[in-house]
Amino acid sequence: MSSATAQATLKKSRLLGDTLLVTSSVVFPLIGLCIFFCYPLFLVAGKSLQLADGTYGIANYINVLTSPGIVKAVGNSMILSVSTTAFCLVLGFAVAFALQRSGIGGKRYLRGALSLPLLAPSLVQALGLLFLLGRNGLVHKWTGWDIEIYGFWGLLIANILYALPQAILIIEAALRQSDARYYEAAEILGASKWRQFLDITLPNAKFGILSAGFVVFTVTITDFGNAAVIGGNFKVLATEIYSQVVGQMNFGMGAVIGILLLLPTLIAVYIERVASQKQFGGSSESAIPVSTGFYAKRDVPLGIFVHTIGSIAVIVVITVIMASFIKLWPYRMTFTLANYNITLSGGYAPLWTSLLVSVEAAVLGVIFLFFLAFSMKRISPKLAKIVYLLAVLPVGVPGLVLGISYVLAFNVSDNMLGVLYGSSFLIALCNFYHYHSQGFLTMVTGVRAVPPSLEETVSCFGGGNFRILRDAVLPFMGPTIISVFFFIFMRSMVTLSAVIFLISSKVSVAAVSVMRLDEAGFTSQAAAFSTCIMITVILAMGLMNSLIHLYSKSGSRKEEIKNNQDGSQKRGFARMIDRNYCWTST
Amino acid sequence: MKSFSIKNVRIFATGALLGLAVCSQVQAGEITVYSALEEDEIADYLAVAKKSLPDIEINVLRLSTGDLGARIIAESANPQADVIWGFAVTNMADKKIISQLEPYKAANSESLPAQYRAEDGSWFAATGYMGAFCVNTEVLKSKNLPMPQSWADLTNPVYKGEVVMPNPASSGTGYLQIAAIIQGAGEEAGWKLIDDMDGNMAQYTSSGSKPCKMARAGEYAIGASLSFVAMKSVEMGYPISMVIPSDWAGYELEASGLVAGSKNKEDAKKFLDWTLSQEAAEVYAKYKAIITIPGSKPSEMATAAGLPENLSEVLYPVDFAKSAMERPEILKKWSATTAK
Amino acid sequence: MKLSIENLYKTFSGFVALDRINMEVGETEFVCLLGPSGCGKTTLLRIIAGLLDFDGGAMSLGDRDLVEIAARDRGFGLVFQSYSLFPNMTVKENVGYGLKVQKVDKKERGERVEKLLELIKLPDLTDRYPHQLSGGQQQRVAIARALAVEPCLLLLDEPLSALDARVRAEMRYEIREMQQRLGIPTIMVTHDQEEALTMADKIICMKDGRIEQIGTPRELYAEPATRFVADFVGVSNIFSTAWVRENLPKKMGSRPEGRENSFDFAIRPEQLVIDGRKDGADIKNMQFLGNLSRITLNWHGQDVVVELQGYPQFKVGSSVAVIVPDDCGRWVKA
Repeated sequence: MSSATAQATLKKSRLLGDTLLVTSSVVFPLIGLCIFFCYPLFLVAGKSLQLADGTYGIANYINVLTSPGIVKAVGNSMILSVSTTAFCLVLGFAVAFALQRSGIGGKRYLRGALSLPLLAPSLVQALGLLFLLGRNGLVHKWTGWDIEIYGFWGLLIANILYALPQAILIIEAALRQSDARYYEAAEILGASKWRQFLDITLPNAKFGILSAGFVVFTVTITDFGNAAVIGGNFKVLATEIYSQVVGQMNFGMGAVIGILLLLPTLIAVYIERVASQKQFGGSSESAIPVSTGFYAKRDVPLGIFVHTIGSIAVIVVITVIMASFIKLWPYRMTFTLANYNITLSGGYAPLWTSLLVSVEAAVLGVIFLFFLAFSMKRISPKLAKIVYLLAVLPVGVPGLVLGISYVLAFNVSDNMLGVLYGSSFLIALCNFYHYHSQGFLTMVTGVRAVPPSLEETVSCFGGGNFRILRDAVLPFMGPTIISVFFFIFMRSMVTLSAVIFLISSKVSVAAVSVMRLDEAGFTSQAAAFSTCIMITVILAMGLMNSLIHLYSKSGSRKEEIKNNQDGSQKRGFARMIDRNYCWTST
Repeated sequence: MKSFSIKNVRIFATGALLGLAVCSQVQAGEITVYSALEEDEIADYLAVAKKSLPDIEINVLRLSTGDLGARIIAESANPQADVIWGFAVTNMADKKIISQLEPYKAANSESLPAQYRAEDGSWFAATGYMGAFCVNTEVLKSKNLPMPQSWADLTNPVYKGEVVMPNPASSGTGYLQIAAIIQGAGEEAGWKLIDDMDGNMAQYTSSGSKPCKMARAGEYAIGASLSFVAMKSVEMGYPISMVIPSDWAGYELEASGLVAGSKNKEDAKKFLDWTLSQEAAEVYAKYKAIITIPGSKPSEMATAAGLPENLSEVLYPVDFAKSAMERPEILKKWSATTAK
Repeated sequence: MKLSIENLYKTFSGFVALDRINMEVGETEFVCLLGPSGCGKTTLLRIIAGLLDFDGGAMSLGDRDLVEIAARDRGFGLVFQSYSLFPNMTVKENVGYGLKVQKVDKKERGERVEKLLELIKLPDLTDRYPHQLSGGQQQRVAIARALAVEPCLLLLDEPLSALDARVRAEMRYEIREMQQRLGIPTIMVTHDQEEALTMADKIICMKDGRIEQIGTPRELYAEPATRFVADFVGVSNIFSTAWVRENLPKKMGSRPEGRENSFDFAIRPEQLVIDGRKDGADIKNMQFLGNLSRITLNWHGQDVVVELQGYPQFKVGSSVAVIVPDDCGRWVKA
């Protein structure tokens, strides 16, 4: 028995371990996706073919497509989504760039300000805009202007505020990968900062920008909450679904519109894939990250611009928080704490359920999404295309439709799936899959930061796969993973439209409490509860953030970036030489 | 999650079960009630019910009428509720929902006038609510507008852009309002009225209570909404006056019924019986505009609105089943009439 | 135009990266900065390029003080170790980038790019993307890109280190030939002494941020000033003063004044002669390198390397005599 045989067995087990890693990375998330997204959606598609009398046919589709209201709604939805996308991409890029590459001040504050729309229940945003810009809002009171906030413009603003943080999330992941050497090459060749921006920064971020555009477009076209509150007479497709399903209990028609809404999603995916075909590979292992610097000509106007946007987001939310302390807005503006005494049955209990559910959703989500994104480069391109398509599809399904699909799928007494119905865990799953696309796209954008030569490293180290993941891949992807975690957590805390169908008389979540308070007429209490949700989320995130810092290793990339900013180029190149574990090239 | 060893399976399963721990399992002596009644109503009613039915644990899931209907239909393959309580009749009468009910002649239900219960006993209605205008007196004052008393008044051009009402396509309240107009004034006059009002209508909201909320916040002068929200707004101190339109007062009955798939029919029936009791009638008086239980005191709200004791005088018999069936066509015509 | 650097000084948070650098690059000179990794040669190159500031000293090109001029405006050309070709641009666009920045019109740009591609012998690759090229091809495109703007100084940062041996040898010749033809003053950073020897007009050998010696390849090889240079440029046998006193007393005469440890004696392996008929040293190891044989011996307790041409008939373990001819070997600073 020689070292030769031992080597052979070792090699075999390395290979096996490798295959097992890649396979399970793809298989488990896919199974989850199938059970908790594809299957329920399939049932909805079935419903869409079910006619009023119980038989099956396409009459529903014909009805919908020939109804004049629908045609108008389609047009409206498209205009709204395209406009929102255009604004969000420009604004989002500006903010992401400001955060990642510029030397403006107050970055932490800006980050927080722009996360506010994400962690506030949709009611808060809508209420805030109304309180500020409504016909009887603060601005009108102070300036006498007559602003017509209801309708297209108000809806546009509300949607921009809602979608912007999601766009920033993805674009930031793209901008995080940078290689200072390209900029140096351009600099030597005489390019000005502006030219460098056009020729290097933008093309580098193309993938992220396209993905962000896709997300904003689909998130807007499926949004119902904002349209209901502030849309006025501007009818969109999502409100049509609501009319059909909730207003007229016409599941078939509602399901049709839901399925039809997948069309723009599919088209958007196609466009995005084609456009990113020409994308070159990601960074190399010796990429020197760009250090942020302050250039007055660029950073002063940029700073003013992005902070203005941030302020708008903050003001809208602050208005609502303040309103929660007001006795009777807008007529009795006296200060009171009474609104925090929630008179709804259950009181604050749903808040804790929400916390549990959101942590479950975020943990599960980050694990599944990371491995799925990680495995994308290691499976055959054909399979990768299919996986990609499935993974980004959820964003095209409105929450309302998703919720119903879950009831159809899991409210069964005769098989195992029925165990989950009525549980908070199912709500966690639903929330995760609702935001699956955004999480996936962010992860995939971030994975491009992992140098390709890690493939070789993985096979060299066989049994140390876990170590490599922890020491090599995670440091590159750390910030991305964290941001996806928090994104899922925040959204899960406040998402509403899907969970209405999953709560029971015993299990409820915070977002539903806010809705119930608002519907019962206790708007100020709804504002108060929303404020509690926001505070809880901020505290929870702060806690988790400190835990993460405690655990992060000293050799993490964050520290290296910090070191590099001292100008120690030497360390960069030396580091590169030190990384010669088993590269075959010199 | 990479290598699924037995150990990991166990850990995962335990975790899942812990997550499931906050789960709903109904045991004997427990019933699940789906209701569209208002939050504080329910709290009050349950407190009273507890005294009469101490051995039954009553779990209530409250959703707005529209959401609740969608939920009930979605769950039709495996109903989770034992009782549906206080749910708009127009929605209850829908084939998809009524087919889930089991006829049960609750104690006392025979004494209800015929239009307040289903013939075969699948549902009965103990209470009802009315459509009402929420009028913001401050806005009226500042814009120098007269107080409207009826739907016809709303066609006065002086109110242009100051009126909101719910969209009948997405809101039961909105539907009951136009149904009342059409059934009361007749097809031709009714649609004309709707058309004329449309000129003044600033927007059609998606939920029934929104117009009132908008009116009380001062966004618009008049919101055509529900009596309940109107009364609540007055109570809370908003500068609101509740006006029940003198011409066509739309109303909706709140029906209750036994779900055929219930696993605890005994207790469910006991609860349904209670909802028709005198005891219940007494506590209804605090909240409801319409109480159908014979011999019950008229509600404070009804008296305040000037409604006579015998409501059947004012409330013309609305054929709710007909209403439900005609809905698609009426909505189509409404879309066409109000298309801008 | 001549580049001259006086007393250049650079620190990184207290660590001295460059200490009293004095050097010049003549009008058409090819200068190599040679040294092991960490010696500061790349730092120096980056300072010259303008990508890095320096803490003390002066740097000028002709009569222009370079401190005043930003990297963007210096008009130098820089070829990176990793080529850093813009991944989203074709070869044509990459090479023409500098010209585009200078707002040269499209037609003229196209012509110049074509000429350059011919110069680097890749005329058919105009529309390829960098990731579709081999290492050697990327290298040439990077050079073409730097040359396109007709730089007054060409800077090369270990341009050949990522290439395989044969391509490297080819490229050495081609770069040198191109540089001579175009007459552009050039500074190349390398840690490979063979490269420096074959390509440079002048070598600046560096260690730990200081210049050890400046000279032509021949000077550095035949007349190393320090032990480091003797050892780094080519292979040397280094003997301590004590050893020389005992075993090569004749050489003590040429030893400069100084302490015992200040000087060592260096002899190139090819300068030593082996006499197989006598003895005195034991053969430890023999390496056959094709054109040479390299023999390691134990000579009076010291490991000595001798290089011979041809195929000597000695055997490992046998004892032979090592002869040091009179004019061979030098004393070098330790």
